[in-house]
Amino acid sequence: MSDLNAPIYIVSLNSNYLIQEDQIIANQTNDIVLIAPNCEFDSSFIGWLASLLETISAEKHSRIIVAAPNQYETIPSDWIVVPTQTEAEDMIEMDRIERDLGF
Amino acid sequence: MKELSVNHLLGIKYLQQEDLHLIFETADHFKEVINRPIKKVPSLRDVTIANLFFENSTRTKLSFELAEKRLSADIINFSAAQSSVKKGETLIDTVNNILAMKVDMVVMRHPSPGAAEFLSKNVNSCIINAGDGTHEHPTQALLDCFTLCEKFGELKGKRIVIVGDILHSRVALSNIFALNMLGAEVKVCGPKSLLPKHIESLGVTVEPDLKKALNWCDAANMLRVQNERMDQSYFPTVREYTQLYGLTLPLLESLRKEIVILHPGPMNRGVEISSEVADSDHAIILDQVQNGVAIRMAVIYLLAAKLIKPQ
Repeated sequence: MSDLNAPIYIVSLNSNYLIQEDQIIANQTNDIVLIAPNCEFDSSFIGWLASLLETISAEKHSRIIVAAPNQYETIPSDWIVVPTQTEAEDMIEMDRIERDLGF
Repeated sequence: MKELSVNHLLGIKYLQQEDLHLIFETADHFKEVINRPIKKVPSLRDVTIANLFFENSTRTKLSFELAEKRLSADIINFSAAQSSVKKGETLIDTVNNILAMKVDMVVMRHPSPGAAEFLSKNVNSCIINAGDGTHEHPTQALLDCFTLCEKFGELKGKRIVIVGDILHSRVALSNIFALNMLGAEVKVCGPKSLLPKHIESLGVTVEPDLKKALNWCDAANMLRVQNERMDQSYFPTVREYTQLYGLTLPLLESLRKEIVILHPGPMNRGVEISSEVADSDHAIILDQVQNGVAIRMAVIYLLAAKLIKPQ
């Protein structure tokens, strides 16, 4: 059974996102929310984020990105992107219930 | 738009065949939604649902909660253990207090048969029965039939056996109503002490021998032995029950044909079903769990549509 109340690692990405990478990787055993509404989703940021998501991808863990709706067009469609932190936490709660139910 | 013939989901016996098909069609759409990366739709953004569980339940409660979240409804969770019920508050008072919070819909599990129907007549809200004593568990029957329909295409003429504790099982009763409505042939199998008298009057036949029942059927629904409902001993020992009515892999492999295995959960592994069977390709138990969310989304969505519709 998964812990429905387990802590969520929430990190606000800023212009020094490269420096934040180690900290994010160190927290990969948690569900993670990457808050990035102020980040420019250009090719270098998307490339870095894709590589990070691959590194921290884990079965039975959620990785949710918070981004401004005007950035959605440029974000890969298989990433889970929501507009607010509340929405991200709600997605994680749903994922946890799914895992608790066994699927 | 097609709509349900009822304003509440109190039991399968109150539904019509068209209602079942509409729920299945709607659940099909929601299955597509829950396979997307963002498994959420804004359909019920302004609807508040109270989950009232007067009886312990983990899986059904979580399944309803997930369905409600996927539909973007606002949720109030209530369990009897934390409530004024323990201080003697009546069911109507409890629910009216909750409805004062502007709740549109109530999902209720209650140990008393008929509690959901009683509530529907006494409070001004849409009621979904999540299990009332030994009476009905309509969403479980809907998800079982939906899962079987996915497997077989349709249920008309299919042979389904329900095995185990029929006497205490709301799942059995709701399944019998739903399967009959969809044209399946239904048999029940279990110790005589766990079969209700006059069960045949519900349009089923009785087969006491498990192997004969399994050789007859296309699918078997293995019910849980409900120790918590047994106020007296209905069979000598669990070991004897398992020997006579437990489904094992050697038994399954000795049958003349392949059959499909369902279980409403939670399973007593090694009692009514062995782990080898539960984890085998014959079992569609995980499909049942996943379909449970889609079916509950469909039921809530279709009932909410009637609620929101201008009169």
